[in-house]
Amino acid sequence: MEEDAELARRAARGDREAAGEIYDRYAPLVRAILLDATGSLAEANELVQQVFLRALGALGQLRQPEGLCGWLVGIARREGAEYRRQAARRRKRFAPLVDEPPQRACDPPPEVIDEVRRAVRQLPERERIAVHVHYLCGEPVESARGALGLSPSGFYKLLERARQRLRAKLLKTEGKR
Amino acid sequence: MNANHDELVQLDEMLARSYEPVREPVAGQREAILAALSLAQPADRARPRRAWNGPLPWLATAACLAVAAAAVALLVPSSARLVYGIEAVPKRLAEVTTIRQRGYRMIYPREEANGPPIRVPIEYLVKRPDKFRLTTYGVSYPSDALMIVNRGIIVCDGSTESWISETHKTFVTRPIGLLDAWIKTETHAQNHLAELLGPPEVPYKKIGTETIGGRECDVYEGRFGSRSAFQDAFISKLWLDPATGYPVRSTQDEVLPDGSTRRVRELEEIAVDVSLDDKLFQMSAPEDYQTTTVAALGDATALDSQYTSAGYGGDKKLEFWHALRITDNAALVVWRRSKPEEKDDGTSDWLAGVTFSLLGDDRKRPVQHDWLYQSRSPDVWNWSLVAVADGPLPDRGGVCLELKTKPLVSRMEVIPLRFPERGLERIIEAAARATLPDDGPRLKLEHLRALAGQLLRNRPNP
Repeated sequence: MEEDAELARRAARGDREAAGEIYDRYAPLVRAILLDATGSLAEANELVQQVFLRALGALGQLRQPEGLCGWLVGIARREGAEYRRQAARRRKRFAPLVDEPPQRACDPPPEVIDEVRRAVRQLPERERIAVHVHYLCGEPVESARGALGLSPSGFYKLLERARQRLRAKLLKTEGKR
Repeated sequence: MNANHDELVQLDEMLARSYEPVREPVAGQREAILAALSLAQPADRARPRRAWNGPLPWLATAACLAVAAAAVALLVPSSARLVYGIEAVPKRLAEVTTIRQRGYRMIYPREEANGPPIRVPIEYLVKRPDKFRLTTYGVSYPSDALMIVNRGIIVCDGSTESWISETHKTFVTRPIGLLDAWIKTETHAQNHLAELLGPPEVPYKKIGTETIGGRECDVYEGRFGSRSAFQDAFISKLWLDPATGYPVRSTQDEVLPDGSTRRVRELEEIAVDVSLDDKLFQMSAPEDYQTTTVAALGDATALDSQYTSAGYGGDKKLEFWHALRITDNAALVVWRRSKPEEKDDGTSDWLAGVTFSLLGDDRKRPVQHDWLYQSRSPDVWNWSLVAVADGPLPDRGGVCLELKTKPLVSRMEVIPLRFPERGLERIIEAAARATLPDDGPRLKLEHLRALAGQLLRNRPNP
């Protein structure tokens, strides 16, 4: 697999194939981060497009091309934060028109998946991103280095902590049924 | 130990499953991003490099650039260096609280009238969710040599909608419900935004930069027109502030048969999220005007069920009410038509001669249709579900609704309006009350979305 740095350099020179590969490699991770922010897969998908347009259009400004994953994660986080800010503003603006705040319901997934997503969303942000990276990136250790600035052992420690939390939350909940 | 291991395996499986929807590729997204990137390539990237005159100038420039870059890196947070392009302008403008556009339109008399062009001021204000003010102009020719420009103003302050016609000296006002004010505000706002950028197929190219009001703007140009023999070609220019992603100025020029151009419209000011006093959306009748007060439609959630655009020919008609975007790739379209010809068996196909399609370069993309409610009456609205199989509905522009029948051929562009999630649910409920008979279906947003998914899954193979 071609390294991120080389892909980033090629894409910055206007190589569409490289830009497409960056999208293929990181769209699921970016989508997961935006799903955390929006709670709606449809909304997340719209923002994914925005994140990639912004990131790929400004790749020339990326001083360390090997930090491509971190760059994308950073833009996705900012885009998610902006979404939440605007959603709060919309809630205020449209308050006279709706019965309750227009909180976006998740797209209707099966109940268990819904619960898992909710539990992941409640994790501290770095742990959450570690879980996303583990399940969505082809080279999780490399991606974690870029996205979280962690060594392999640091990444696995963080992941383990997240898993313990999820296990306590999800398997305990399951047992209660 | 085993229990522990089993639990971890179970957790791993649950987590892996939870990511399946996120892994699903989104149809058309990759292509859309790559296409937009190609459009937004900075113009100077294509410029040939200047020949070097030796190392000294280069070293001096490099040193200056390094110092400047270091200074900028220290002073400016990384997010501030991101720049916005033209690709998501409609979406960005769909989310702003207020919009103010001011400028002028040029009205050119017919050749017979042989007079000078008339420059008329235009103003268009929106304060979401339920206030708008706009000027309208119509031209009439009482005789070949005389042209009359009729100026009107429409305002809505969220509880009252008023129209004024300066030519006819009439003033009409009526109370308006919250939802009706909202859908009208969005209709005006989203149609104006679509008009600002022109038809969806117009490719914009960055042609340079220019400073407007102290802001260095990217200038984009799009050429469009010739959709029919009766439509001229236009050149549209947009000045975009890359720091905010919002347009600040726009011009539209008409290309004449000899290749020369003339200005049709100029928006000298486009401002968003500015403070707009509520008084701007109120209007009272001037003293010598004839005033008419129209009764309210009903309660605060009642919607006006009058058509918003229509085509007529002989005893045939096509009328359109509104379209609502219910997912990225599906819309609810409310429309009605004259009774189609009966077939030999006495039945009628109410879709005969009707097509739903996309416009411009998107026209070949497959569009699926399904009835949500078929009225089988020219006086009762139909609810149609229209979905695009291979990606999202175009970000700007809309769906083309066409009826071809004798003697009427009517084609109209309908823009599926975007609303926030909870508001959309309220609008759909109100739309059902306004446009469907009492025994018609009461479809909720979630049903419509499920039906749209089903329609796309069951689409015929190409």
